[in-house]
Amino acid sequence: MIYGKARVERIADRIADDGFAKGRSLWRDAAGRFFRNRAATGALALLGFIIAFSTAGSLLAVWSNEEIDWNVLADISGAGQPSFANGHFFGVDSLGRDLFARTLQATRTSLAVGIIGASVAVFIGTFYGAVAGFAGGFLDNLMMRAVDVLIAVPSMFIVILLMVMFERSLVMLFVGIGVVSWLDMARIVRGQTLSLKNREFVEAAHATGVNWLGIVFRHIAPNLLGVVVVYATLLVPSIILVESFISFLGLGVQEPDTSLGSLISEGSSTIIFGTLWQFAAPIAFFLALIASLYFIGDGLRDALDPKDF
Amino acid sequence: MPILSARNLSVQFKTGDGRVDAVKSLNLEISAAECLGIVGESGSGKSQAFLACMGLLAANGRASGSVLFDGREILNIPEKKINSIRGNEIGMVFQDPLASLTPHLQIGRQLEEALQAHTEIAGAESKKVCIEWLDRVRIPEAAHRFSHFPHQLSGGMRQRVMIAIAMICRPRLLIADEPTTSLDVTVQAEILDLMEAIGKSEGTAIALITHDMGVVAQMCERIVVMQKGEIVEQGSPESIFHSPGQEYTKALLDAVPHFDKPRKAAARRKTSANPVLAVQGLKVHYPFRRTRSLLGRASKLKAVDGISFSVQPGETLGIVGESGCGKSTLARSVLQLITPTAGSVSWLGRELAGLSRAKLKPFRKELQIVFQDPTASLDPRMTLGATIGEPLAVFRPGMNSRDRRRAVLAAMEKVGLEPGLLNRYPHELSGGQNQRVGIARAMINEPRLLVCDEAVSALDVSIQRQIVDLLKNLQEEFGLAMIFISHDLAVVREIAHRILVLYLGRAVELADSDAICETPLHPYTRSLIAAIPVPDPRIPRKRPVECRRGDLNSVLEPGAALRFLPSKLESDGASYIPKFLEPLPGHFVEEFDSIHDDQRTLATGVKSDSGRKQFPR
Repeated sequence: MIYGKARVERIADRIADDGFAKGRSLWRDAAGRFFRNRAATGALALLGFIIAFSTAGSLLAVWSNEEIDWNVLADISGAGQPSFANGHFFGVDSLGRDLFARTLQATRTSLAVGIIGASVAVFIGTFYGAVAGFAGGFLDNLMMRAVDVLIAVPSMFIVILLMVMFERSLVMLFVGIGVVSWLDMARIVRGQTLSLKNREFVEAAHATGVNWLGIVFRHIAPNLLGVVVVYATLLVPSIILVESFISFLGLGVQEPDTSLGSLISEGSSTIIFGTLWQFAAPIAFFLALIASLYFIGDGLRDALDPKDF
Repeated sequence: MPILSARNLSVQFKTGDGRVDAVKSLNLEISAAECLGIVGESGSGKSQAFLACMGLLAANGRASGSVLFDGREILNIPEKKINSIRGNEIGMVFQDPLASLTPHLQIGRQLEEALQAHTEIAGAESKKVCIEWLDRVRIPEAAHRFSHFPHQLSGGMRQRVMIAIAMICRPRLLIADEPTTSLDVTVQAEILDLMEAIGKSEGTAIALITHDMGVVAQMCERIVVMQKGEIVEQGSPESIFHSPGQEYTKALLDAVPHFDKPRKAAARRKTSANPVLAVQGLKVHYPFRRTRSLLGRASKLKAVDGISFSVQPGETLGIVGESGCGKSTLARSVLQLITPTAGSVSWLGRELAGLSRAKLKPFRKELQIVFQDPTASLDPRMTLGATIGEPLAVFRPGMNSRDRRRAVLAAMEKVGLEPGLLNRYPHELSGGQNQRVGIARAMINEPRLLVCDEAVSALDVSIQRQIVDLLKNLQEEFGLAMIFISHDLAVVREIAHRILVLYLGRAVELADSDAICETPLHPYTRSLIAAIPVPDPRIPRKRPVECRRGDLNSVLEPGAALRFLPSKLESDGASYIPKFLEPLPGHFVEEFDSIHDDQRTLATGVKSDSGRKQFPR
């Protein structure tokens, strides 16, 4: 019709062979856009560095996180200062334990709690919300009223109850925090799904013959990503904070293990004795961690939205 | 002396892609009490020029040059000064009548607000003036409507209110930016009529901004044609329409569908006796609760109420009707995107109604749809290649990615899309290009029936024409059957072989395209045809006709189906179902009470004819 068939073939061949018309995917495009964003790339590098340092850094440590250095215990504000000579790179805490080793260990714990807790929440919340929103009607009502009831119960109370009822373990901490944080996620995702479900492009996919799984995975999920990612990166720091609070109450991580939250609270209570490093080391890691997560979340949101450049 | 004169008016926008010149040193004059038409495609800068005059540019816009209103400079003057001119001496009417009214304020209050901002009139006096104006813009029961909220009014009524708000301070210039683009043709005719009458009686100059040549043809005394921020031609309607000097003007004029001299629809393939699609007594009813009382009385909203038609292979059936008549619901229920309440839809003799989603899937390959809003119907996070290729992924999962890409590129070539656009996203393309993507997606599996649901309504006339041509070409190439839905009879006539006219969920007339356009039988069809603006200034605009007064009636009114049959409403009550008759071979029309005597003989003559064929229902 408009062009001869031979010409179509020729052009199609040329283009198919040329690299430029390789079908780009959302993910590849998103990666390209993400790495063009300097703040996000820098934050990703920083996060990578923190993770690497908290795992491999223990090779550098002279002391373990539970040994007490009796030599400095008598004069913590003097001899306990950060020094390379005695191997206490970040100084010692108020009980004479090496703060370097403790900070590394605390960073690991906090990262694990934050990331695993947020993943649990995001996974449950997204799935639950998407199903409720997509199914609609009675099922939607039932599922969302259940969420309303759960949200009405103070979440901290549930976590504390779980920690008291079961053994105080790290696994229980993950479960407890994850279980209470998915509720908001479910609500957000459901709302988004409801509005997406009625968009014309979903109807178009339906008219094309795409089955409902295809619609959820190819059309609804990618359009939910922006919201989910931003919420997830906000969730990680807030879960780290929740964990810190629980540890502060003495229900979270048990000594000699520690987390950034407990280190910060210990450090801030001894700051009046002039041991500034006990506060500075953990809070520096905490801030770097949270800031990099925020920047990465922001970068991901922009990258996943093709409208942003 | 001109009331408004622009000298070297330029408008620039700072965007992420650099500076954009929306208007380039424009010189324009409007005399007192003159009606000036400003015509151009979207993006020609016609709206931006007037927004700049009014100091309403977006934050990244900058205007330079000079605009004199009544001898005073008004360009880039302080907000406070321009406020005393805006709404007072210059009134504005915008395209979207819903978006321009505040939803939570009674329309009367919004009128009073405009009045009190610029005059001393207050209290009972102001209410009186407002009601007077509502009456002048022909809103029935103005005193009663005063305390209504915008959502209680139809689109046409809201636009009347907007005109009343714009005119209440008796401005000397009224700027109307696409005032009728989102309205139905019959309502459009009434609004244009109203603007003209009020302009004349108040001595107001009118600047009518539009992309539709048909609208300006009979209303304006002078026409300015704009392209890419510049005036390419101006003159009297006579000279613009009959001896256009510029190619661009000619192209714009060519693109306007001429109802009286239509271009031919695609050649019809030899019709076989068996229709591909047969729809019988299709009904879509929604349960509906009137919320006036606490418990409410559940009633049914009859969006589609017993429609029957068939489509032959290679034929285009046009479906015409105004907003709210159930066109889109009909299209979706034919494709089983909405489950019909009753009736049958048979595709090549196989029944579709009542099939499960899984059982419908093989049919989806053969039945495709193109949607009204080109951009909204594409997934914003999918590239064009992925969107067009999706049907292949569904129906030919075995295809490797290289073959699929080839097929996608071939389809893009067919609909006239550059291959380089493969990896673009919908927001990077224009509406016309996106609509081509929608068509490519629908066509890639070579369906046998294509439903176009207002597929060209959101596009500029010139793009509209290209898409219509494309559809005709595809139809000739593939022998495709099509259902082409539109509110615009002039467009439908260019593409359809037969036309079905809908009114409030019921079919009122069905016949060959020429028969329906040249010898319409039903009064509703007649009024639809009379309302089409004629793009020729030599032919005076017809007045809105006969039986149709005011806006569309609601489907919810009892006896809506008997709107044209009041005699039966009296004798049999609202339960009577009008018959679908065939007075001429192949020309079906719903029963109606005739208004003129010649029609009565026709109508009654048909009824007494014992050999008449009844349309199956």
